Amino acid sequence: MRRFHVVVNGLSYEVEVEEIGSEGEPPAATPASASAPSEPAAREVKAAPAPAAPSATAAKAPARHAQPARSQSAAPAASVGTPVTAPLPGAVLEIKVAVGDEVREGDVVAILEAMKMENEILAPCSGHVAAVRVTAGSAVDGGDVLLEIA
Amino acid sequence: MSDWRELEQRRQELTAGGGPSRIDRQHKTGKWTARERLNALFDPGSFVELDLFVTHRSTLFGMVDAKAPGDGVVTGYGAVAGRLVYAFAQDFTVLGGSLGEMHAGKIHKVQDLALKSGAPIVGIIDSGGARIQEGIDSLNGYGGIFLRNTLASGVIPQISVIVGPAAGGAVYSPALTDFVLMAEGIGQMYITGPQVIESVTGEKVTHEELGGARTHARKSGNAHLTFPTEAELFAGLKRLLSFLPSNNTAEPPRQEPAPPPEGAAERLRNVVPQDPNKPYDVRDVIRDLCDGGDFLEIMPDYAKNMVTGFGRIEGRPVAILGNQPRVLAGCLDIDASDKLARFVRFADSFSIPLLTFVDTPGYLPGTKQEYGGIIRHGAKVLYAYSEASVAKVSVVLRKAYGGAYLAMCSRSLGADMVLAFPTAEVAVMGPDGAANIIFRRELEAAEDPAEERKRLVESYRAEFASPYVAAAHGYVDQVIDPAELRTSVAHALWALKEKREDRHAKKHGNIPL
Repeated sequence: MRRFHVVVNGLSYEVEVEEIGSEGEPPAATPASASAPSEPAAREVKAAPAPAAPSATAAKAPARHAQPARSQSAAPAASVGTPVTAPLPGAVLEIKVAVGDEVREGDVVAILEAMKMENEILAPCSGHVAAVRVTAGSAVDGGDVLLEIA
Repeated sequence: MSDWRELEQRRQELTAGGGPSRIDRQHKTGKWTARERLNALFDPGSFVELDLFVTHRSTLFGMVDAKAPGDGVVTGYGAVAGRLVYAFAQDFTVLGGSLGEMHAGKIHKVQDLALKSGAPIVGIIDSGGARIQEGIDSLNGYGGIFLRNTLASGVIPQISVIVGPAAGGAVYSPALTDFVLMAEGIGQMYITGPQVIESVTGEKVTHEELGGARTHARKSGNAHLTFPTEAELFAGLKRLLSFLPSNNTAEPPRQEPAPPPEGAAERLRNVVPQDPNKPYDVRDVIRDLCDGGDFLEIMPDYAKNMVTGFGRIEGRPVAILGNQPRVLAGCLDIDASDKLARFVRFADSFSIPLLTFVDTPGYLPGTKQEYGGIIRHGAKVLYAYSEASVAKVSVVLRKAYGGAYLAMCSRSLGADMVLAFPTAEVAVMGPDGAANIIFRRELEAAEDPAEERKRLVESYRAEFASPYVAAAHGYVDQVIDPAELRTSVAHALWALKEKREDRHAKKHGNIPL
């Protein structure tokens, strides 16, 4: 385990880097993490300067800044369940569930308007809605997390 | 003394495979034995075993004394619903089903026989991989299987059943065949296993996550059909075979015609929403069209924006494809293009008519698609439809815009009959985009551009977003009442029954891969 101090856009991060590969990998990994922000850090930066989108992802980011020394494997979002992502870029027309609702695999949980179609977003698994990350009207990119099911 | 009694004894010993304890272990892991699988596939009593007495001739690494009944694979032929089918089933109870020289030789023999006799072949895979003790002779064995798979491609249907491990080179025979069927929790396929992956990249992954049925059905697209149990798998395999001809010169098997589901005609009038922004399930159209509502969907969990499968109309098999508006708005993308092109080429190889349902707003936009090579992959759709000389019938349900309209078996690519619902919108692009370009000056000059835009979009929609312009130019042959769908499609297929289309002689085309 090696520790690095990384400053990105004036925010300082303390990161721990654990070596998991063998033969010949450490030399490649060390300079990469020292000279450029490691990937998790880069993702945090992406989330942080986005005050325009009052989404939960953005709100989450500052909280994580306060937590020092997260291991390198920390996921970009503090996910609480199976993410339901936008399959293509568009506008959220409707969120059909609220936190705590029970859903079954295949239930329609949201409507995403994209490609001039009101696309039904289906639950990928059964469970309870653990978090809703977007609101009706917000614009999302393909791959953005809409909500999470646990 | 050598008489029928000795033969009987030898047969008994050899058909016991790896013996009771190994068979017991096979059952405890939830798996059937090779012979149980063949019994499930073939009509009772019809299986004829070949090469029962073949065994390895390896003397290295202690193999001299290794007993290997049948050399770990059961091969032969039999009847499935009365039709000839060849098969081989690897026997995991004998040296872990590992593939050695003679094991491979037995498989080569049934592959050759199936090809010569014009009968489908089913490979049942449950093997630890190459028999290391036999070195490059076992490698040569795999090579011979791949070569035969390739030479038989497009001549006889080849189906792989994955009911055990298939690792490394062993996965390439299934990948070369037409259909791969997997049993959940039992069959696994990968090139490099979890241990190798962890030691090289550090990724931790289980066998099932890496190469299980669910993974190949949803993520990789390597499996065409998956089943919760082996019993369901073999039932599904027989259903699949019921749609396929024995070879490329035989007619697809006919069954007694059956009526479509009760109330189908009335439902078809309402299934496609008037509002072009509303999704629906294209499979509802397909089921209400088919004999008995019976539709066997192929790759139901992969690239779900494209639906592919087999149904029957008036008793004759039809290969049915359709954009799925309820997934990714029915856009074409890389995975959907691959799925479509491979299915079209299979159907064309075996003279199964193509019926295409069109409702697509276009290609999926994004850098992921462009960098991933949607140009190359999308070209497969054009190639496959243009190349196909089997009867091609298209039905435009709703959106058919621009390049995606052309790609989805349009008249321009050689569709023999193009039908359209009254809800069809065949146009160079959607009304919104088209109005922006055509009426740019009017919009710039307008006092209330938003209001003017709305009016112009509506006027464009009223005039061009319909099937009637395309019908006036002859790109659509018939505009039909949705309630007449089945009759219209049946008539079209009947009219094309003896269709022949000759092409230039060539070695083979060069499909963009």
